[in-house]
Amino acid sequence: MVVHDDSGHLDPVEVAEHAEGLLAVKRAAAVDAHLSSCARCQAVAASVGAVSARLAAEPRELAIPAAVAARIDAALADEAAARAPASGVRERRPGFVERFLRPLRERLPALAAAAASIAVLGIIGYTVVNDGFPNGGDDTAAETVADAAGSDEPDEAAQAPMDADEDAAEESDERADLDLGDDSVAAEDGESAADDELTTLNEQAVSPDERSALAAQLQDIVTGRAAEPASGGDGEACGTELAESLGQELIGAAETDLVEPGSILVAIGSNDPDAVEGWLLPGCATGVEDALLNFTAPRSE
Amino acid sequence: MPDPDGRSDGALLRQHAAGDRDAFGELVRRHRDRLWAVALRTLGDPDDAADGLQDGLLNAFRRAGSYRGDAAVTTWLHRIVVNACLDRIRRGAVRPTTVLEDDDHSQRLISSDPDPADTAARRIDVQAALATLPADQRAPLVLVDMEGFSVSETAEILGVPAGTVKSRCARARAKLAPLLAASSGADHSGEGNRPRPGAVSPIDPTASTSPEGGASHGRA
Repeated sequence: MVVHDDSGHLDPVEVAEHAEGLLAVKRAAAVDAHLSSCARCQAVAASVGAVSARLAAEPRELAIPAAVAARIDAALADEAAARAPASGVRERRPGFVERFLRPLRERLPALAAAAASIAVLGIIGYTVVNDGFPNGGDDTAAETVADAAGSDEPDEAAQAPMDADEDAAEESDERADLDLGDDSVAAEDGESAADDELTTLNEQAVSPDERSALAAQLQDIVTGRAAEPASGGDGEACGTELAESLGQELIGAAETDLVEPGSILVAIGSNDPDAVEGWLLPGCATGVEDALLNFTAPRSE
Repeated sequence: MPDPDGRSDGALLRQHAAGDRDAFGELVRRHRDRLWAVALRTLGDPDDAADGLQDGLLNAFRRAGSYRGDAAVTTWLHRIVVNACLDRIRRGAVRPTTVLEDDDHSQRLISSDPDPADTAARRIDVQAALATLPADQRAPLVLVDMEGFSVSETAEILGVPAGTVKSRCARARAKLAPLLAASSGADHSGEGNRPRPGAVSPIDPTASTSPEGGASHGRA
């Protein structure tokens, strides 16, 4: 006789699993045999089935409270306002800069004009991550860069190592990648995941060697070759908060001394399935606001 | 599924991704009552549910470009919202369950509509019972038994194998069986455990897409 415990009856969990067809054939037959002769276990089986019926009798939808609906509408309106810049570019989806820097500007007014537009647009360029829709704003991305660069004339731009040195840019692929003009061309060409385009935040200076090393380390994380997955004191994987706030999958994270000793390089998914985003954070549980830089690289397995 | 204004969910999402300012709002209006139900049932606390739903919808707003059209928009939206809710649980950001001790508050917040007392009491029973489950069992049970998703759709929403969904649902039902059987007997004498079709949708007559709601695995 099939019994679960000293009572001589079936485990209710097994009864429920049986109803879902989860038991192996032999075990299912034994359970059936017991059920056929045990009123108590039949009652359990009936009560398990009644749970589904009882739950299914509830409405699938519940009217959302007006206050909650209003709050969510307001949050979405804020997001939409951030998405559509007040400048000349109208009615297009958010590009790379908007998605990452506009939230930064909102949250950190002090950082806003200075660090965001100057460090990012002055020092380096970017390529829009193609979201996969043909009518996207790729062709306007270059305009965005031009607009932003024009409106926030960067004093510090003169300090930017790659600024306006066309000869030097042509001499080095890496430096060419960093040249604003070059990346604008790339954006116009509609490349979806340019080779590790990089955005510095919080006024970090990054050398070409560091760029290459970061890209290599990111690949190691993606392919699982990173020595030790980084996690915080509470055991939560580093970058969890960042990935969650950006709505992307957390691929992995590793400690690194590149750019900033003791920082954390986090790999997360990109809207482009063929790309991966790298974020350098000053600490394990820090978020977008504190990020030192971010870049996008092709995803290779 | 085309709606009164003729645009499908998928078209709305694409238009949103392409810069249409109204498309996402329309998409939200279509689905928010069901998403609200899922968030509330998954998190238990109305304030947490509001936070979770808002997190999820903002994520969906930003991630519209990642929708590939290989799943129904409904499934995609639920995946993002449910994950936002589960993330709140994982991060310990949700309030302790207080449904049992706080009936008035919960009844008021669970729905803004006038609520026949009997239905409200039943709903609290269900919510209190759900609150006894671990989150990894509650979410699949809510999706399959309450929201009418198939096992495979639920597996997609939760990102786990179908067998895992079935197994978690089975464990959840076994745990709820004595609770719901007892409350049914006490609160609705004579009704026993039978479903009560008449109580299905007094809250919102337009709400349910399967008004009789009896089949738990109807949408294969």
